[in-house]
Amino acid sequence: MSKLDLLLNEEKGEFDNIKLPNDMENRLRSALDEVPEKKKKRLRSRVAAIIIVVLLLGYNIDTLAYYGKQLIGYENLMTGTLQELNEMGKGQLINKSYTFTDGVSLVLDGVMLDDNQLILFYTIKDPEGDVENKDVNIYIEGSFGRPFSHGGQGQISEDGTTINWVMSTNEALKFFEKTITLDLNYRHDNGDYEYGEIKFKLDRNQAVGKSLRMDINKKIDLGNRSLKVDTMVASPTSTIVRGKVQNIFELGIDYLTKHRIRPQEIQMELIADGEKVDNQASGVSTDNKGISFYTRFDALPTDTKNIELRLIKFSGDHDVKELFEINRDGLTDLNVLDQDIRINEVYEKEGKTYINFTTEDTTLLSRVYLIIDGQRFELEETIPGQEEKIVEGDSAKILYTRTMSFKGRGSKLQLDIQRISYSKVYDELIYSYRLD
Amino acid sequence: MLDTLIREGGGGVNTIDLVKEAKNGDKEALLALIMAQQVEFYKLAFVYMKNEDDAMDVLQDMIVILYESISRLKKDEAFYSWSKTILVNTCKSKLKKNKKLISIDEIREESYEDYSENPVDKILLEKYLSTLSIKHQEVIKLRYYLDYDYDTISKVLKIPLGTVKSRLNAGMNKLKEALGGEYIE
Repeated sequence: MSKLDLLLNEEKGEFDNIKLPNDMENRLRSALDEVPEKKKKRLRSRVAAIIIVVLLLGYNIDTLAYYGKQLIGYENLMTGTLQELNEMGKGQLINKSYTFTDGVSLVLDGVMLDDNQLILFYTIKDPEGDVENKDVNIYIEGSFGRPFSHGGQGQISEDGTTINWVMSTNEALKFFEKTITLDLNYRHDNGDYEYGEIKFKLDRNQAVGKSLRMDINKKIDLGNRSLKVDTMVASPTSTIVRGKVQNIFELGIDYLTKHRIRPQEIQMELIADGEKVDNQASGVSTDNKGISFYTRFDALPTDTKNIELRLIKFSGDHDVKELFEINRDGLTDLNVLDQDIRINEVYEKEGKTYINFTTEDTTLLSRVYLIIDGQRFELEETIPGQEEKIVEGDSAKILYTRTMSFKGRGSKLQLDIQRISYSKVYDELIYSYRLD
Repeated sequence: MLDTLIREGGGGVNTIDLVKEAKNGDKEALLALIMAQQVEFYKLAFVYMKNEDDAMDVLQDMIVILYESISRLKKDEAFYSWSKTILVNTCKSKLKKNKKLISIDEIREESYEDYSENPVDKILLEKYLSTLSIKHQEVIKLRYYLDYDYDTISKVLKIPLGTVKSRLNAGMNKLKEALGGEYIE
């Protein structure tokens, strides 16, 4: 073996013994938390694609193409307020583009900036008409390369040559951030990547106007946890509510006592003069400051007098880490973190143990094992069962019965519930405000 | 119902099912896929980025890209080579951006700090490796540090098998040339 081989081998040894960062899973999860849920976006872009077909038939395309300072082609993607702002000629025109080697291009038409977010209006074009399958991703960077997560909606043209996107940052820009860079990342069909860049300067004079900031500072009791709603900022483009689920101090205690809670959804409702305001996005993220959340609604209508903010539902995944004895021949009723779990039947078949049980349909045993005579068995599968709607007074709930199977059999059974996730409906007024 | 099947417990679920769930927008499914091969992903990121912070940064970028583009993955069973290709590309684009910031001195110091046995050789190896073009460096590191076979390298880097072999040959020759004398035999 040559000395070079030995050296390379030594290096390999170091890689073999590489130590993984402790928080790898959490850091990856928090990166994912930052990304808005995808389902909605895809669904909406499909719906929009259908709408535009109808519109193009009804419109004269020539009149669509030139229209003063307004952005054209984004009509269906704009919610009420954005549309109005656009019609008033608000926002900053950019009109810069980047063309990749195969002719696919991205044109940044314009931006709108206010205290809540930066909204980008851009178009991806593919002259060959297959724009839907062109994998172009954008990364938004502020000063010093500060990255912004973002989300939005797109709309594909009838002939498949363009997609218009309206993309908003999930965070506000800092007042000193002037130059914004869009990093473009295009994955060709053969898997090769091509990179591009569009840089532009923000003109603060063209920001779209003033915002109203409301300090809410209201704490809501969630049983073993509390939710704190900090602020609501109503800007011309959106209304954003921000808060925390717990502060870092509490989070630390949770880690120590191994009773973590991972919020999955915090559903809120904003009502302006009795009308619900469209909920556009929401997110939960965990970092060194604890767990924070935001919900973005459409902007308040211009003449709004009364606003109300309500907490509708909270869903989370909770650590349990407890053992529960199971009665082999009869019913066992368990109550785990206030959630009822009824074990209906336990039976054995072909060396496996089956447990049939019922919970509310939003309750899920998200990590569960069966301990049979002291030995731990992993869940093999859950066999779907039946849903049943129960009406109690004016509230209804859905009960869901299904069967878990475990590869093993024995006499003494204990259910090892590590985690449970559930949602709880609150429908409670958090904040009301009268604008004069 | 599939949802319940996967989430509850998480045992006994195979890659293909998880990929399908991830395509439906299930973030936890995607995370489970990555965590199932966390060592491989971390090592691969480390080979390019050379330190934990940057390796974790690119892994975070990667998982976001995976989430946003997994619906375009045509063959579910190719998830791992597809995602590792994306990781490699993410590393390269990050390195490209960082280029201006890393000086040779910095590399030298880092290497010196974490290696006690034979620092001189280690510095030399790192130094000469870093003078090779990235296409030669990467095949050498994947082959020797991560023990990838030619086929895996070809899939992850998306280059033909023949090219893997020729790049590895050329890279090793350049490395030997650069190191000179006693390293050759």
